[in-house]
Amino acid sequence: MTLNQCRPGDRVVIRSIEDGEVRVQALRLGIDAGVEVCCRGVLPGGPVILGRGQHEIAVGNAIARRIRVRLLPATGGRA
Amino acid sequence: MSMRGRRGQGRHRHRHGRSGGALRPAGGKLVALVGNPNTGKSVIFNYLTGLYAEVSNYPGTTVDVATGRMGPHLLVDTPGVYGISAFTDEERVTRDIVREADMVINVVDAGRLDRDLFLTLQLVDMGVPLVVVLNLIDEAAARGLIVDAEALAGLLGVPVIPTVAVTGEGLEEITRRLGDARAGCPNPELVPRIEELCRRGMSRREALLALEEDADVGPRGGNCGPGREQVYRLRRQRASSTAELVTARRPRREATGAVLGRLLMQPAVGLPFLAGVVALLYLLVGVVVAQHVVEFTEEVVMRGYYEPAVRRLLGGLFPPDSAAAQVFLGEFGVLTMTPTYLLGLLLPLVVAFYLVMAIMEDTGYLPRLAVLLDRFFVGLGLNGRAVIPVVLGFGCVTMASLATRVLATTRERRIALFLLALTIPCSAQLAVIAGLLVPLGPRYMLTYVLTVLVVFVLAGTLLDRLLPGNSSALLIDLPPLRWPLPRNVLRKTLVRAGGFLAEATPLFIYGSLAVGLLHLSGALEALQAAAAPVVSGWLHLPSEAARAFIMGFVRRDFGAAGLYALDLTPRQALGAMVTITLFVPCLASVMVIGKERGWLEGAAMWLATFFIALVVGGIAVRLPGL
Repeated sequence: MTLNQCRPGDRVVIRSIEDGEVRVQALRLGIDAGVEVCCRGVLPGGPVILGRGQHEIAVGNAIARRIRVRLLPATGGRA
Repeated sequence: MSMRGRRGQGRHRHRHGRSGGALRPAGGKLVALVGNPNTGKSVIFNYLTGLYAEVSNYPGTTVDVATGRMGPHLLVDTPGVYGISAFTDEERVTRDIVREADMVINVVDAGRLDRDLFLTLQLVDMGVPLVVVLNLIDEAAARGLIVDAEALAGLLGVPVIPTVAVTGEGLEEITRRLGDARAGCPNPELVPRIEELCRRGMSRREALLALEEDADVGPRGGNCGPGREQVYRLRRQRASSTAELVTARRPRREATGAVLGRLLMQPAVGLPFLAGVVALLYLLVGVVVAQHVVEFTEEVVMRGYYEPAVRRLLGGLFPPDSAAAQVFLGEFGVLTMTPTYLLGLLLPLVVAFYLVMAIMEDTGYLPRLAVLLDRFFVGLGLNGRAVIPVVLGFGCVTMASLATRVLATTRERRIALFLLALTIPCSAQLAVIAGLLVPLGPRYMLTYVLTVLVVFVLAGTLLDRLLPGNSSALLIDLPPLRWPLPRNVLRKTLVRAGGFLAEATPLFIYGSLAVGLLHLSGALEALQAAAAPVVSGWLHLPSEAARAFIMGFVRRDFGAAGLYALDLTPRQALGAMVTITLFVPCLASVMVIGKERGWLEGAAMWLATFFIALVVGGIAVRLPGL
């Protein structure tokens, strides 16, 4: 699945980021293939809000559609 | 707010001189303060330098850099960045200062160590003598995060000082341990490649930048390494594992700030909140300041005391009714009208506006607004980041035009510049507009806002359809919501208001000189007569309004102020305000647009705004049902 299909509360692992320029920017913010993130919010047709611990990043819809992710099973705990 | 963008390579040589050698104190060192945005850098800067800091614009950019004395040393505050490269103007400024610096104080957020260590490790890989300030340990602890400073110091190979900048905790340690600054342990996988480049005559810092294919440094290094992405990935892995190793987690309930921050981005909460913010802004700037404060500053202080006084004082120098008396002390006088408009009318408004702007920036609200409005802007060929220039545009369109450099592609910068030039009224102009339309009742103000909004959306949508290429999408870091520090907010406001005066004053003087001379030579009357068919026939305005539009070529607020002085019916006022809002951008903005996009494109934009203003103004004055 792709990042824009996530729902708030989902925990996912990034599988790949298509765009090279986006990949480099994301690396600096802590996002790369293999990294586990939590979906903290999705605006309909708009950006996805990702969380890693206290840190939050907003990813525009056009980028989110080109980031492949793997959904992790829900643990019931806080991400 | 950050202003970023990409610029050519030409200017970097002289920048070095300014940031480095020329400023380096005799016997002291040049120390750079470097960190991610919102890590508390400016509070630490204020503590270390005391009251006497100097804020100046970094040559060739819109980036403000503060410098101040710290004992025998000179401390330079750099713009907040996530890494040092050539992605944006701010990164270039930071990079150039770091290249010159004798040592670097790197401020990191203890609660966002994973993100912040990327920059720290880049500095370590550069081999810069370094001290790390582990700030915001209180905020991190409140979220259940405890960072082991000593372990971090061991892994990085540089001193680490835990602090809480806002309370001053730990800050005295920074000066005490400055002498311990040293180059840390670079990534072992990069060392051989860096050494190879150093053997070819590069400095350690340049070698690393070349290895990372820095746009301005890279080419000199030749094709020499694994490329930026690989270096970044190595560093990202080391940053994440280091952060993991030194941070202990205790489960805590999520802070209310984080929950509120997320709610602000959800349309159901975010949009009503935004409406509240706009209403408050309108009350403060449009009602309290535009009407009550300005009534005092303009009518009482400037027209009541200042103008009669200056006429009395200097009236004797010029024979009454002479040309000079007209130009300097007359209706459009350089010594009468100019200071009245500038200090009595515009300055209070601009200060009020910049104050609100600074609060919005320092609370972390703006990036959330960018997320909330992203989808709307995508429809105009932009992304949520465009809220930065648009919001800034309500302060000063010229400043906002420079801020279009935050946008990633030429296509977006082109669209944003045109929308700014066409539809966004600056604070000075808004003030006049509010002053004129508010007393006529909400219907007129609402019609005005809707008309301009429709033009904004139509122009953006059309440009998005017509311009070739693709726009970039949003990718931003969301800073935590925090209470702003009054001192920081005031400082920002005053620096910007000073910048406004410095920029607007000469243009106002030239403008009133030009209008005064046109008036004297009879050319003003001739132009007025020539414009009469359009102004009276199409816009239904009195022919003297032409004079205001002529002033509007210099600055739109100047033009709006000229319209303010006329006796207009409500319908005329609406048409006049729509026209002057959409009218050609002020001279200063034209210069910026010309420099950013070339003179041909600038001229095309200028002509387009001129015609659109007249067409829409004529339609507005004929709107039925008012």
